[in-house]
Amino acid sequence: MKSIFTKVVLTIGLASLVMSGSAMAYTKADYEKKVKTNEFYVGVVAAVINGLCPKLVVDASVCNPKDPVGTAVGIQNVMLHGEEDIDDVDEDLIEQSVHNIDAAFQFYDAVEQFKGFLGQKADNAKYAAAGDWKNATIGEEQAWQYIVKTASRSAFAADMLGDTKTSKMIRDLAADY
Amino acid sequence: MLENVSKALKGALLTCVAVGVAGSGFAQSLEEVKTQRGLTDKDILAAAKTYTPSGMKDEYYVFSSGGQAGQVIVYGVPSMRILKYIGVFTPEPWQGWGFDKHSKDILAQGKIRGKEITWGDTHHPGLSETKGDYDGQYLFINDKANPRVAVIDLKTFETTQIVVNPIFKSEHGSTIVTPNTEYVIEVAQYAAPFEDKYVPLEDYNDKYRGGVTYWKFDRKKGKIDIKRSFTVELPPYMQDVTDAGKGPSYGWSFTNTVNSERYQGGFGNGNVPEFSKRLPNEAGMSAKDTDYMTIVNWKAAEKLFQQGKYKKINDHAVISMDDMVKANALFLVPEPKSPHGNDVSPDGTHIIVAGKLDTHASVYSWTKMKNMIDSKDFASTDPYGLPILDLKRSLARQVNLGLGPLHTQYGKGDSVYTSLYVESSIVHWNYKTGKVLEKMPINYNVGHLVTAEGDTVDPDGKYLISLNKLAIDRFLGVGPLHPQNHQLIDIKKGQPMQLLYDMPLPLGEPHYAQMIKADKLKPIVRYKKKSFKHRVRPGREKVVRNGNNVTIYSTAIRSHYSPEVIKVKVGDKITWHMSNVERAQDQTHGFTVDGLNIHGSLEPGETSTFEFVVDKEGVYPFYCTEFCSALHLEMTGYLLVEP
Repeated sequence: MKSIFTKVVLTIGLASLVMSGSAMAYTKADYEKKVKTNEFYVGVVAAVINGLCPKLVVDASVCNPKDPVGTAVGIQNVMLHGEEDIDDVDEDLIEQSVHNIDAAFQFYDAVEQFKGFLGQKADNAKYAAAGDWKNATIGEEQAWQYIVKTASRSAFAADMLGDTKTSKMIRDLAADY
Repeated sequence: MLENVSKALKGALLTCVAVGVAGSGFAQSLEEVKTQRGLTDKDILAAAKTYTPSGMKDEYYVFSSGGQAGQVIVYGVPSMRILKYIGVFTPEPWQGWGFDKHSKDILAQGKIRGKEITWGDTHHPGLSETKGDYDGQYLFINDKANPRVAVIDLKTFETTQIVVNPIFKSEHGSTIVTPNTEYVIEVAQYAAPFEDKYVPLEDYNDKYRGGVTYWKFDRKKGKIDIKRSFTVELPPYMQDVTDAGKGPSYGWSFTNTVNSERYQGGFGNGNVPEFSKRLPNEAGMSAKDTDYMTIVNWKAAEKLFQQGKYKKINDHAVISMDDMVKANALFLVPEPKSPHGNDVSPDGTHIIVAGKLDTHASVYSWTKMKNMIDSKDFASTDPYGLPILDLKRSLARQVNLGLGPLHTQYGKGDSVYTSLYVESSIVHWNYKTGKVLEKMPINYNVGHLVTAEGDTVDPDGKYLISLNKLAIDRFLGVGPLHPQNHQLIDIKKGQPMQLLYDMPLPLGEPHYAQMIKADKLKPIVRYKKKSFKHRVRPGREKVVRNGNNVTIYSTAIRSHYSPEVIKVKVGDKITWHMSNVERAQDQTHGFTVDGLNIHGSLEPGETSTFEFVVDKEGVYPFYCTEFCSALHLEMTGYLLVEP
């Protein structure tokens, strides 16, 4: 079975065949191909967020399957306890609001990567609207990097929670695609 | 082509499997494994007692000196798996210790008379204590060659302070702590003038000195308070191992001495003719049958210090022997010659001394000694006026153990274990009855021992580790320099001692160690980002130029640095702040700029600062040295240096 890492290795291998990312010419088709890939991945990540949420936080009311982005940020907010910076929050307090603090911190970092994905996607849309296929395509590749890291951190969180179903869902990502 | 390669690999694999099956065969049962590897039932039992499956954690931490590496070795018991080498007095590249500004500044605290010292001879680690029990907060370690003491914070397992002894020229029996870690004790070894000046050996008796330094530990700050620390001057005997009293002996410390003869050899044709005909030190320094245990009332010394009864030498407070004697705070009692062990019992009532050249362990009674001290009942005084207690009247008993008793560690109840250096054995005996219970051979030349929590008021027993000086034939050969050998021994009560495991240690001579229950430690897994003055937040990365000073504020997250390209000019002074903005456990990023001797280990939440001047134009790639992610290879950038 192909793993997510197989996909990464293949990507690296293909990347090594080209001289330089910035020297390549990119087309609308290149961009759309990567968009399609990312749509698939973000779909799985959405399912992962929804799967993990009730197992991560004590107050499951933050989990809204219809809004995975809001759910992801909501989990961070649960951990933040009203502070802007997680550094300001006593870890004992975080511990009270989550079921497994190690898993929660893995997921916190996953969400940071997910935010990177969302921000990058917004930029890519602007590049595409302007017909800048080079930046739009490379931007989609960066978005894919963010989403892969979101998935890999989420897999760690799932393992720590003993959530084998979600863990398998992430690890089967490449095979399913 | 790829398909062909794949087929070839599959073929090779199948061949290997076939050969394996036909050769050694696949053992399916325990009995088959035993037969194939030539293991006995005893071996299998030892394996079962030490094997720690994936995910299972050890019951104890061992903190062992790293010998000449100047570091500390951390491993787990019973698995004997090495967990970490803590960079202390010397650079440790993996941790970036000695390669970023913070660690360079701490290493610079260890300069001796302005000279950078790039090695250390770590000897005696000491865990912080509360009420005589290890509390798991701090570890102290000394450097015998370059008299220094370091503080390690056990939340981070990082060195936080190095303090140089300003008057000693060498030391040894450190870093034992008093029962509440009021003081970290550092003891001189080779007598020398306290001042940094030439004094001929002919003046040895008058101007060379030994001493015991009491470093005041400020637990709140987690630092030694140099200004509240002092040294008690001692005669020019060679002080050695020390232990702090507890219970009824609280407030006192006990230190071995060697060479109470004050002998100076010379042996051989050097360029000092008046010494060349003298016999070697080893003969003259062990000529007498006894040396002295030095007994210091550190509470009384503390009072003298607070009263200002000291003189400053090299800006350090030294309390004279005279003042100590006048305050009834300094005494001697004879002990078997050339001793090394000096160990206070968990209840503080006895002190066991092991004299390497005597077959006995001597058990001193604190009650008897204290009565003599209180009634000023002394046998004599030494040449410096220090009162000497009568040996026989100080002893509870002497027990004939064997050849070369060196160090004693306490087990459960009245059980004690003494290493026999010459005989290469461990002897188990009862220090209250003097009965020898069992003797076990080890390989080879055991030095110190460590038992589980053996230096505390409540030893656990359970495990003993024999810190052997030689390995000889125990491991695969690695050339003439062999690793050292730590042998794990099961000492659970009611059963014979059982050797469980040999662990090679290839770092340095791991002289002494302490073993602490793992659940007493609370190590962190990420840093508080706010604790770093130069923390860089994501999105606020920048490069600021001020004249030829360039400050870079950058971040690291899987799998990129920000910024990735930086341009400076030859001769620019670079200050590079790098923050790892991750929080997840174990998500460390490395950082190096090629060819500039820069390396950082940025653990989650950590900010490190690197300072350097680029004196040659060129292209300097920088990259993450940890395999942090699948695109770790792409976590890179360029420092471009224009002419």
